[in-house]
Amino acid sequence: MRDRRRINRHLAGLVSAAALMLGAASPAFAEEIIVGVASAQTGGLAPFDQPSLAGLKIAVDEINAKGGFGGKYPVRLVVKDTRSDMGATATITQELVDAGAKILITPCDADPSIAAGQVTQPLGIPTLTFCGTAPILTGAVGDVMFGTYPGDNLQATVLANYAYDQGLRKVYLLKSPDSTYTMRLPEYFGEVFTRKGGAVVGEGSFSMNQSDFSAEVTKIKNLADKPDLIMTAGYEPDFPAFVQQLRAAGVSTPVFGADAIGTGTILGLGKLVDGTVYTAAGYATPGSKLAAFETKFKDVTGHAPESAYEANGYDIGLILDTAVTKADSVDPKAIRNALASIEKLEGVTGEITYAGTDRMPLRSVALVKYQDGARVFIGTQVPAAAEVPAP
Amino acid sequence: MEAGVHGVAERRLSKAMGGALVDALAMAALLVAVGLVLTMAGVAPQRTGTHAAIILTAVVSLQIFSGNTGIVSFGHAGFVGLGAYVVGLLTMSASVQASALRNLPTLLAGHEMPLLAALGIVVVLGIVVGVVSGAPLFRLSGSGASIATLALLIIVYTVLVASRDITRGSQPFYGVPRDVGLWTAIPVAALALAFARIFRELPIGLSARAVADDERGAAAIGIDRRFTTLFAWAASIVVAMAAGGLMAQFLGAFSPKDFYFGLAFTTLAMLIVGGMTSSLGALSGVAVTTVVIELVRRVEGGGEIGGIVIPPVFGLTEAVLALSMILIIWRRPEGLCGGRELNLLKRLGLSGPPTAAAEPPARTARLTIRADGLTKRYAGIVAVDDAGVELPTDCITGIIGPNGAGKTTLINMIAGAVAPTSGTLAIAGEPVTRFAAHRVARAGLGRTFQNIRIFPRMTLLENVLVASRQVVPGLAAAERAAMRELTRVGLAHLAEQPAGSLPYGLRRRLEVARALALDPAFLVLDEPAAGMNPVETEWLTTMLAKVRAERRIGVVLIEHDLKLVMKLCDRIVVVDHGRVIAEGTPAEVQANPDVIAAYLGSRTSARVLAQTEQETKPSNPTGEFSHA
Amino acid sequence: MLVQQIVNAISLGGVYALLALGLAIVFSIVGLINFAHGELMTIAGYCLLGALLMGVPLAVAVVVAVASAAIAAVLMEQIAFKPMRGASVTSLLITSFAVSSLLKVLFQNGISARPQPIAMPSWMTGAFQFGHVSIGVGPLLSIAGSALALIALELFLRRTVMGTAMRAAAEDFNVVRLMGIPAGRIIATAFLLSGLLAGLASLLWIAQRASVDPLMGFTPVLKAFIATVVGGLGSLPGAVVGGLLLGVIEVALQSALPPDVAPYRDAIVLSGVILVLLFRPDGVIPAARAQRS
Repeated sequence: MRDRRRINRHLAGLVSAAALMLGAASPAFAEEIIVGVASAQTGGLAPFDQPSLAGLKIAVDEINAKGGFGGKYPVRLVVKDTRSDMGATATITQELVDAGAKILITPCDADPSIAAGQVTQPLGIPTLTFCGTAPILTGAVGDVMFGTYPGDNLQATVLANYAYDQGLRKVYLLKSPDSTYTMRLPEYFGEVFTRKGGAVVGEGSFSMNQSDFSAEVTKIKNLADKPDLIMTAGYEPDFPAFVQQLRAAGVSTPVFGADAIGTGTILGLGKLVDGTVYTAAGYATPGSKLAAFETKFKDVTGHAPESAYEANGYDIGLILDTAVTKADSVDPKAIRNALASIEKLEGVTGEITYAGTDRMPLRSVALVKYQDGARVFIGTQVPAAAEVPAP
Repeated sequence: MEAGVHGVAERRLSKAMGGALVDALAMAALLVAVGLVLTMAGVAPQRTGTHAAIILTAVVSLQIFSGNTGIVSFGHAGFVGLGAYVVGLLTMSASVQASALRNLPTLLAGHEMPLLAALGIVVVLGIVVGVVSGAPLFRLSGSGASIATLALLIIVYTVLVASRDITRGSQPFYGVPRDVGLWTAIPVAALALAFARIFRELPIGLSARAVADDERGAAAIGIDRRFTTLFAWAASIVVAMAAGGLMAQFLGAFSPKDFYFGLAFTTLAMLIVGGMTSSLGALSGVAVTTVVIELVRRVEGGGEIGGIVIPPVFGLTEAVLALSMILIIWRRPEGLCGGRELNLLKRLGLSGPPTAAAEPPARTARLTIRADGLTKRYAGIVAVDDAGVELPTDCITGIIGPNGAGKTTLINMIAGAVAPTSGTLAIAGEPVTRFAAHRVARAGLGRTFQNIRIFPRMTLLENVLVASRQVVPGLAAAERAAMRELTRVGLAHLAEQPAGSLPYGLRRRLEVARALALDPAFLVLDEPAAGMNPVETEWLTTMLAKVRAERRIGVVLIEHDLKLVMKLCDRIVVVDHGRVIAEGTPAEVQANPDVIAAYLGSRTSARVLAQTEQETKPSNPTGEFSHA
Repeated sequence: MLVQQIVNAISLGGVYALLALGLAIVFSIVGLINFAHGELMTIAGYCLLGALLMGVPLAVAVVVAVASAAIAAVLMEQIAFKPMRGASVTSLLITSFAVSSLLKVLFQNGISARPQPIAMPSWMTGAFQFGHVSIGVGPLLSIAGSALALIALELFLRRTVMGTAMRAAAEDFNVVRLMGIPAGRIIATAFLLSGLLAGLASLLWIAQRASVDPLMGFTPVLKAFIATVVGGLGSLPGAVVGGLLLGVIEVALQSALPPDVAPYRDAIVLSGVILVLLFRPDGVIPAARAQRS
């Protein structure tokens, strides 16, 4: 008797395991809209995808509480881990499509996003990258691919404009060939900066995760033509290491960076980063939407957001809600068209526009400065499309 | 003894090759069958299958090199990447290329080739790249070679990242047509797998495995380690780059980081899981890992099982993979397949060992090894001092002397294992001074070692075959010649067993058979009777006398068993303190006062020498200069 | 500028040397190239962070961090490598890969995939002025730390019974049995030492980078791995020389290469490594090994 029960239990287990596997392929319930998330929950991209997903989940829970996208299409997130692997990303995208995903979210990096986009493009399924910022991303795939985060060229433009307006004229660019972001962003900066009349007086390079900048710093210290500022898109662990070693060598030239240094780690460096200006997707001034989101995020998860990616993930939820509402349909093509026509959507990070762009959003970029161990908000800018360098 | 069909095949195809072909076909058929199932299962399973087949090709490339040479390579992932970029450049549409790669050298621009043509170019290029990049392996072995492959990985990655005009640097390389589906990937994977299965039975594969098992033993039968390693490397790079070509058209967009440590570790792990030393290992490693990943990742996303909500546990896949790897290494260090091939024919009893070939004709010409003034100094110690000996064919020469007299060093110099400090050496009139061991072996010298150097992971037949194919043209004939030597030493019934399973005494016999398979003019034996019991010693004496009589070769042996030496040898050379102190017939040597003094001086009883009583095994055999 | 670059080179080389030494000690005794050595650094980093967050003074936190790496190393040996004693170098290496990736997953999903800041006291970022040459406290600290650790290790290996036994074991493990010291204790001590060195190197590394993340151990251990082979696998003096050499070459190239060629830096360094190996296949200072027949 007992044996039989055990067998039954085994059988039940088997059946439910099979059901689980099939479940991935079962059609969606009527009016339910499946958002497939092919994200890197482990591996090298996890630091970006984990927080992005956390933000998106909060948005989706809120939206579902109100009845779903457009108040009538309940949302189901189907999340699969790509393990930061390219091949797996393409496969998983296909599975999500097979599972009935009408919208797809891809990892925070151009390569896997393009790989996923190549699957969704022929099917016309709108595809949004969590926080991939390479401007070529959307052009490389086609009309279903949307960026959400401020592109590298957009950020560089805002930063260069600010630097020039502050009277800074000579820049030293510190690049790393190891990633598009760390390589191209300073180059875009140089492009805008020289076009405005500034000059690039030197360029250096570093390997990511090298953590030793002593040689580079010594080189900068001994430059004949002293720069007014140093621009880099390096982030952790490279940026803290660089600044720490730069200041230790007695170089006080201000260092400008991009959105990836807007983290608690950099803030924690205190006086070291005094005067460092960086771009951000948004800034939480008291009473702002972003501040409200951060409070909400803490209430839900028990800890404050670790980066801007949580807020951006939340905004993706809002973007999708707006698009589906506008399309008033769960047809992927209608959603895509609605997405592409979004204009001046007020997200928690700021204003977002797709209309008239090549689907990398034209959106507000905040400028923030570190001063005395705190962040000082400088302002937000939406640059003119003509100013932004071509990808 | 065999059916007619087999008989015909036997003449042209070696038994091992026949078996390999059948295995290759079986594995290819299995891949096709899996492909058919996946085709019916839907688009997503097809993608999983395509990706797995491409990864399989990459793992097979690693197996061809690491599995045969025993050198763990971290570098193959980089070459997969190189292949991907080459195919990407050659096949991408000209319009995308013009916008994405503005500064592309015109030589590389606008080809828009079909995949097959591009793969053809990759194969040719792979040979060139393989030979050039394999150059460092020419001098390195073991961990040094491993680290060189790691260095190659970093070099290829860095060059890909730095060559921005061609590769877009670290930015995604996109716009590659995606024409690779299941039915492109599976044939290529099957082809690669078949190549790997056959490769290990080819002369080069046999040689590589011999080198991996025992480098000095391999040199002693004429195998050039450097050439073997380079060849295996180049062959594997061709496959790796082809895998890259497929990968390029599967992904459509990629960047150098996709072919870096991540891919290197994944492919290596899969190979280790399956078993590095066989193509079946590569196949099973990829199959098992893929199945495990597919099962686990369905659970880790969370969901409901029987009404119970399971929270998502991301990272489970990686964790399970890591754990299963550790478990496999604990439980089965040789991998799931234990290093074995399918060996379908043997398993089904359709193939027995090959028949033994006839004896080679006896040597008629009288040849000599002539050594003049051979001297070897090690950091102040003179191991051999101005030694001159002449060793003729059709004669058994014994070299004796007290412990530490320099006998083994002398023999090692003659065999090319140790380079002399000064002196000259000629075999059959040809100068071979300072020739590497493998070239001396090819000049007609077969040898055994004091500490036996067989190839434990190869079968007995393969151990001897790898030597016989050096002198016998055609693998099938070489196989029969090998069988003949195994029969001579009474090991024919164990031909298909791994040599590592043999007891000590039989290993010596195998080593003798291997040396004889070279059909050498001279057979040099370093303490062949060490560790043998009286019955075995008796067998050895009879066998050596018989070989010498039948083939009229020159036998040279170092031996402590003076009774054996006096009984067996026609001539005796006595060495003491690195010098030749006496030479002559056993009777002459026994009467020589210098010899008696030398043996007295070395605390060994002169009485033993005089009466040729049975000598006990020396208690301290490590006192000799035998290890350089 | 030259003086500064020399200090930079020695400081970087010193950290590499500590790590390489940790790898070499374990390799010389058990034949394991421990790729999970980097995760020992990560463990030390998280323990330092945890201790500081609990309000422990820096000095105590440092001790806690180093000790935790040492304990973790011994545990790692007991749990993962002990059942594999006598396995081939390849099997051991692959096991350590597996252990390493397992730990990384644990850190990423158990702690956080994001880097965590560690505030270093401000005096560490200061600089000494010698005339017109200014030399950072960080590099000097790192040189001093490495030098002290090397001297302490040398004393331990020369002056204590256990140290002598370990040197003997590195040449021929059989000697240890003759000395009557349990093999397990020798091996545990080797791992303990490698953990201590990893912990120390981790602190010097963190002092430079001011953050801890799950993948932080990979790059330095890769460098250390290269350094050990260049120096001579299993040779302790070789590991130190290899580490210093690698540090010097990296800093020299970083400061001397023109911007056009700079992206090729790693390719040049590694080509140099291959060259060294071609001329000295057993490394700059080959390990003393008993000739085994």
